[in-house]
Amino acid sequence: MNGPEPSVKNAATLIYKALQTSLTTAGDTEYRELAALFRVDASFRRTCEDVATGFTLQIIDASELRGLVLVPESKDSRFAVRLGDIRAHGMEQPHRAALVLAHVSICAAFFPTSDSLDDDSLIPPPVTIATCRDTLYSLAQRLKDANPLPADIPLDLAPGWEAVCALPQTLRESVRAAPSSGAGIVKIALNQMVEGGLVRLDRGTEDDPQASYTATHRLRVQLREIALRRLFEMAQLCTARR
Amino acid sequence: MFQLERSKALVQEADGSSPFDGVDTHYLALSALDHMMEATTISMGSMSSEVLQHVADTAARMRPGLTSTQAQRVATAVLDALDNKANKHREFEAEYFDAPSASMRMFRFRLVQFQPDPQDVYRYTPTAEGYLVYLGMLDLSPEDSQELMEKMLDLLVRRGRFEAALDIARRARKLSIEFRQLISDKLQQAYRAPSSVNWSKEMQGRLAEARKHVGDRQAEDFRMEQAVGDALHEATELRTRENLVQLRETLRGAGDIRMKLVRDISASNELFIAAQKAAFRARRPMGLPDLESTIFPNVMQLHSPVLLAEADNFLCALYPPQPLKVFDLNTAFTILRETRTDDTPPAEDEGELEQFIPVPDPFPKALVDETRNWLAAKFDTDATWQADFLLELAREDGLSAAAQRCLVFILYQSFAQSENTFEGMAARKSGKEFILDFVRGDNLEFFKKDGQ
Repeated sequence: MNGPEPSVKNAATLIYKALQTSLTTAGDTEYRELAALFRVDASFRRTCEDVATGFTLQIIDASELRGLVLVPESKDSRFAVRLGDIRAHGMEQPHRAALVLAHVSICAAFFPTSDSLDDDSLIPPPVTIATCRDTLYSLAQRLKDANPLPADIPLDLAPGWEAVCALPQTLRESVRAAPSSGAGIVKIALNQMVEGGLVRLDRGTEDDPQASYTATHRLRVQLREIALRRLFEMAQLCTARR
Repeated sequence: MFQLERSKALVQEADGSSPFDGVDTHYLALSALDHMMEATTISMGSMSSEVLQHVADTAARMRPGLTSTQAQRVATAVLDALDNKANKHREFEAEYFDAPSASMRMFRFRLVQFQPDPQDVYRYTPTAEGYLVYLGMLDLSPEDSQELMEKMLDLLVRRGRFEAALDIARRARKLSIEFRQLISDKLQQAYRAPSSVNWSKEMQGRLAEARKHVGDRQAEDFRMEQAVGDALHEATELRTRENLVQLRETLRGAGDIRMKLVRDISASNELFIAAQKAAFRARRPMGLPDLESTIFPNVMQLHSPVLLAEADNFLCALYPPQPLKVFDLNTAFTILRETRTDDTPPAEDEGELEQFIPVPDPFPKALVDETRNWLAAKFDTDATWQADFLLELAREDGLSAAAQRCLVFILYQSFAQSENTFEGMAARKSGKEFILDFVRGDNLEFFKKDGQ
């Protein structure tokens, strides 16, 4: 069998294909062969890494089964997704904070412990919007009970849990993902993550409150390799301030 | 495990016979086994005197200073050790740990057996365990020893010693199983710890050997089966026939096992790659605290401004890279300035040119003049004319259809004062509509203007 050559062109092709998150190696022979080459040929791997670095990207995982997993090097990368890209333009500051926390709560609902992230054989069970919402609210409520705030503190300057607690958990007649309720914000985050190929709609439709979501391999890899560490650094800020 | 038991047993023996300085009792024991094994190819084994002589000779060669009496004593000691004489010729016993039952178990075995052959001569033969010790100590790989077995088997069949042949065929089959075990063990090891096995260096060679082994054995087996078949054809004695049939079955059994071996070999590469894939995933643990119980609460306690400032760091790591957006101003301008080429390609067939035929003038000048003159003559004669009457008159006068139509136009043209070509005449609408076969319309009345 004549596989592809470890050329610069092929390295760039591989990066190009990996940038298309919806592309799988199962449906693309060239992608599969290039991913296989990436794994066996050290020089080709270095070329690919160079190309990726040039694009301000980082390769965090590679397999023939799932292709390459790329991630922007920093938030300044042109490829980076920022809060402003996630429907957060018109949102008020507390809502935006809640949206960030909703993301974390979804990740926590799928992978509560580091072991569950580490162990590839452990498939996290599907979660519903309610699971994520409850993860978010129960923690926020607990923190609120633990440290009562002075009543006059503006919401914009309050800790994140206050922003969550200030939101109604769910609105009676809201079906669409709206930023005015906790469930709505979780839904915005989930929709965005579906779009990014991080979670998959498992059962039901988007508008169904019973819809369940499953984590993709990509979510696990991104969390494990890089995102969790960034979160940890954020958490360090909190302990440092105390 | 077997191997281990063997070595243990031998160490015991070696210790037991240590008074004999300068004599490698290990070697002697193995040499005795070797001698017996060789003897089985010819007869049912070797007589004790033969074994003793052989061992004594070997010992003497090893240490030339040994007297023949001493050599005999050494030989006796070695044979006794093999036979476990010190324990009243009981079976050797060894304890080992049995993993499935999680308990210590006793394993009992003999290295040699002293049995009467058909001629009632007592001879020593190595047992199955004896063979294993021999092979293990020689560090002989199973496929080599199997070769040995096959040779012996061949010899026995040719000599008509079918019972012994059957025995050996069974052992040969056992070796096939062992060989298969070896490969699957290696695979298992490769699967569990791929880094410990260099596949292309170690295993490819082994697999090639295994393939060759299977190929050779298959040919050999075929030959053997043929030989057995021939012998079966000629054999008449019931017991011999029974043995031969069993022999053939055993050979076929060995063939089946080797078929499985072939399957193992061909699948092994893929299995190994799968194993490597699994290994690629094996990373050391992150060492970060748990998300839900430790990190999340801390993150949630961050004040909103700090949280939002740091959020992008997390989000850009969580989401896969997004392709560049088209809304970038530069890109937008480029797109807007792009001149679009025609979407539809021009038709390739240009069609045919047709000659232009001008539509003939329906009212040539001659006709118009003729009709006009006719009308002018009428207008000269009387003061008032109705348009419908004039048209009726024209038909009666025998004017052509074209002339009649022309008349209609002239009449209506004259209705407008500005275009009236008849001097002194005027026209007015006379109320009633008229209908003729080629024209219809409001009736007109022509009359002489006042004062003329």
